[in-house]
Amino acid sequence: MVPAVTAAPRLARIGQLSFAVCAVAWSALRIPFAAGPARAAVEHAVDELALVKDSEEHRVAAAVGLLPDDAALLRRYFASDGRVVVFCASDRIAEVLQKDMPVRVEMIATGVRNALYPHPRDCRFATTADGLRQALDAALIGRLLVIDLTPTREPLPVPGRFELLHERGNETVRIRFWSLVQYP
Amino acid sequence: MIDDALRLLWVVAAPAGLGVLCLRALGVRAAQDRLGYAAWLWPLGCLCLAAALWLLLALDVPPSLWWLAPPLAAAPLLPAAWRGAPHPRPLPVPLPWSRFGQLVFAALVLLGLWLAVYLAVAAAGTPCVFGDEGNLWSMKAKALYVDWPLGAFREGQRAQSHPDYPLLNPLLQAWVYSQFGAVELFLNRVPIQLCTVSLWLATCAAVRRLLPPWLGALLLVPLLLDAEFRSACSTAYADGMLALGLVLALDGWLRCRALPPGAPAAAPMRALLVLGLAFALWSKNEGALYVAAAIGAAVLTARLPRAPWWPGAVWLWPCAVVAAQWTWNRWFGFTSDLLGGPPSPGVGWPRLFAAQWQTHAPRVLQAGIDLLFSPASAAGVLLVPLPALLLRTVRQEPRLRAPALALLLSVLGLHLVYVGTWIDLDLHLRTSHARVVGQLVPAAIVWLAAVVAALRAPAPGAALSGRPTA
Repeated sequence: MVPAVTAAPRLARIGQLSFAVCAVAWSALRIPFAAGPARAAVEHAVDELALVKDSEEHRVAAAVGLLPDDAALLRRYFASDGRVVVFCASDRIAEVLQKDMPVRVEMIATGVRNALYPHPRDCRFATTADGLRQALDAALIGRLLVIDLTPTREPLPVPGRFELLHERGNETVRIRFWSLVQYP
Repeated sequence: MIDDALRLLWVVAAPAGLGVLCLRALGVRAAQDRLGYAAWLWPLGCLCLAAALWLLLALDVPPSLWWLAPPLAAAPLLPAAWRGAPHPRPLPVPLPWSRFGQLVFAALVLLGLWLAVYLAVAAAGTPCVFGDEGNLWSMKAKALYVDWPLGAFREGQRAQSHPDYPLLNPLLQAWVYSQFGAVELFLNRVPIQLCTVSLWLATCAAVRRLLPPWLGALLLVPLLLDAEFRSACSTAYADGMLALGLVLALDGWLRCRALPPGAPAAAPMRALLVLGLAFALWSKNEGALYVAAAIGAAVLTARLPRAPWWPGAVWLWPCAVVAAQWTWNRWFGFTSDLLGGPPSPGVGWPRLFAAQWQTHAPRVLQAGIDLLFSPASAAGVLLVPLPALLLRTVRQEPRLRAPALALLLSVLGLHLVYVGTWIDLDLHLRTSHARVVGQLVPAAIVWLAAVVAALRAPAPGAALSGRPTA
């Protein structure tokens, strides 16, 4: 009986220590696998760190695509409230870009809204003529601005009269600001 | 430039100073556990500051006067801090280590600190306008700063994806806006990023108390290398804050339960537990799930507490946080999307859960398995409580088994939420699963350290108690 009594606690202790070793090993097993991505993240941060030296306006421009002049113009336009609609006609861009376009335009709209908040608070996005039509509102004449990212030089594909406030870019990348003047 | 630097100094120094006052009022001194002290002062200061800001907001005090928040928060703390503790309150302090061991561990802590600060500074290359940090957290902060108390606040928030989310994170960002006098697209992250720095220090302090340096380092390095931890360092998401609250609560639990009943040192550690819970509850809605899991685990596994569980008025903190947030949401009519609030299609989680069980449950299970067994993710540590509960040492020790069960229930609860999601499941999993599960990882590391300490020692109670108190 005596050996059985002493062996059981010893076995239990061995089991406990084995569990402790396995648990720590299970956790530490991640170290070699996670080291590569961690190193890549730190290297990526080096590139980001270089941006920190730029002015805030330029960092916003690099991230959102709004140059300081654009932002100043938008802030002037939206002295109080209104609506901005970020638009890119998906049927007027290269086919290879069409699939990702809604996500990209939504992301740009999000960035614009956050960068300019609260001038204006209301920001929408559209990638089709129908979507753009739904975002227009006659009650917002003079207070609705379409940021048109469509690279072609055609006017907006919706009824109504728009005034072109600002344009920059070329056949590949173009940005135009249209102010809603009249809506049927 | 100098003006901005001074403002930033004030923005950081005010909550830090409140944290020092708070710890002093609780009877905690830096000399007892320098690492722990450095980790705890920031979250406690943020709690006090945010509470005062909320009060100013409710009283319609304009943002130009929000500099009043620190003195307002300090006022009730000053008498207790001035008096100091009625008697010495030694803490369960770190194990005695060799000089070399201390150096190794200090190097690891500094490495983590450098990484967290480096990633935070590098993140300033990009404005805080994208993802949930831009759309959800900073937008809420902007609304508090710009729209309050106009009707635009209510309407604007209703258009958000989570109008009911707790306000600690947005209040801290709004604090930055108010002190800079404008919406800041870069520095608004600072108070939140400092919570991640505190998370690292708090996890290190908790592990250091229990394990020798080499073992502690083996457990802590995976956290340092974890993608979710790195993400928390560079963004203004509230997930790192929630993780910090959980680590404070678990560390407080382990420390106060390691002391004899009625020991003077138990009171500040119970306060740490309670304030950690308040911090978690006020950071993000998942905090309520974890607290419910912890209460369930305590009821299921732990006997009734053997020590008096009234650590003073600090117990009011989590109750006040829940009551105030609930009242706020009721007042504005903000409803969780899990309960059918906008922008969900109006169907609550229970109905969606029942309807989607067959299609979603296997995919959620697969996502959970993929993440927990992923070699590059530290989330694998969340699997350990399951086999650990088979061990007699863990089963018989309430300090260990209650957190083990709480962690398991939390992991289970998180995944059940995904089964009843109204969002496209793949999108929801891709955008949040690893990040949300990552909230539990630091607490799981602390728990694992306690288990390993108990298993290494011939008598587990002594191992969990740390060095005998002075």
